[in-house]
Amino acid sequence: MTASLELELQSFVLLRLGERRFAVSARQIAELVAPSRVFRFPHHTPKIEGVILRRGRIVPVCDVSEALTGKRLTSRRFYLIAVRRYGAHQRGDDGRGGSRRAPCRGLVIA
Amino acid sequence: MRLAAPAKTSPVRTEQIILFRVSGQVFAVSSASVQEVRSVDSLSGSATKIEAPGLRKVRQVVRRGERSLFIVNAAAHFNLPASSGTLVFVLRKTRTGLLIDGIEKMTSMTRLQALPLCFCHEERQWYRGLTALDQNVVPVVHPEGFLSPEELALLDAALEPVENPAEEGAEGTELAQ
Repeated sequence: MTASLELELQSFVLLRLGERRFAVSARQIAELVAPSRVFRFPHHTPKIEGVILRRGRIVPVCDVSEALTGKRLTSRRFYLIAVRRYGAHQRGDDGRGGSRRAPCRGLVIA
Repeated sequence: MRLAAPAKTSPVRTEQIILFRVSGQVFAVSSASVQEVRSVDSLSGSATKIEAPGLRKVRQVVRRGERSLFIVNAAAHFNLPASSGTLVFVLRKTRTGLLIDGIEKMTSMTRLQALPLCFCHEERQWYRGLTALDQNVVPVVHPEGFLSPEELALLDAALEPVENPAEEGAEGTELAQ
């Protein structure tokens, strides 16, 4: 019996954070955009910088440089908008009390 | 031959909001939630001091007959730098008077976007959502989000009994509901 190893061809976005390089599956990426104004307002969620406006939609901004490289980077060449799912086990706010997975666009700064 | 029914076009719902400033940060509140706008001076005569342990955002209370209106310093609530509040929003259906720096303007919003779920702490109680206005993003506050039931219980416990609660003066601007 021969085992066949099936390799799936995948695309990745390669990005640089400081001196280090990372790869993110292209399936997880919605778009790459030039840095725009980050709107900040009071909140208590760590690692969330604020939000940006993208085609009328409000997208949260998460700076991953410190978590991935140990350093906080100040210059950004682009934002990478990732398709993510937050709150997998959170209750929905539809008043019916059922739990749901909420799709949400998150943002990685590179 | 039957013609297809024309697609229903729902009118754009707008909501009147008041943009207000606290320590340089702009917030929005539904104008329907604001019962009165009072100057700090007009309230100072009727306000008494209150101190609840661990609750530094409330320092004053205004007695209105049987009711107590707790004055919440918005800067302290949002952990913003201290500022000199000049106006108080008396929030409808709450026991909250919100101390703010000033009113920016009254306007209307056509869309309220839910706060993204990655915001997962107290801010979920603070904000109804976010709205985009003139290429800016403004958080829309939740009138009930300034004092939790636990905080109200703490404040009630800290209230001193008053023999003859005096109705405070009616200076100020009453907003129509």
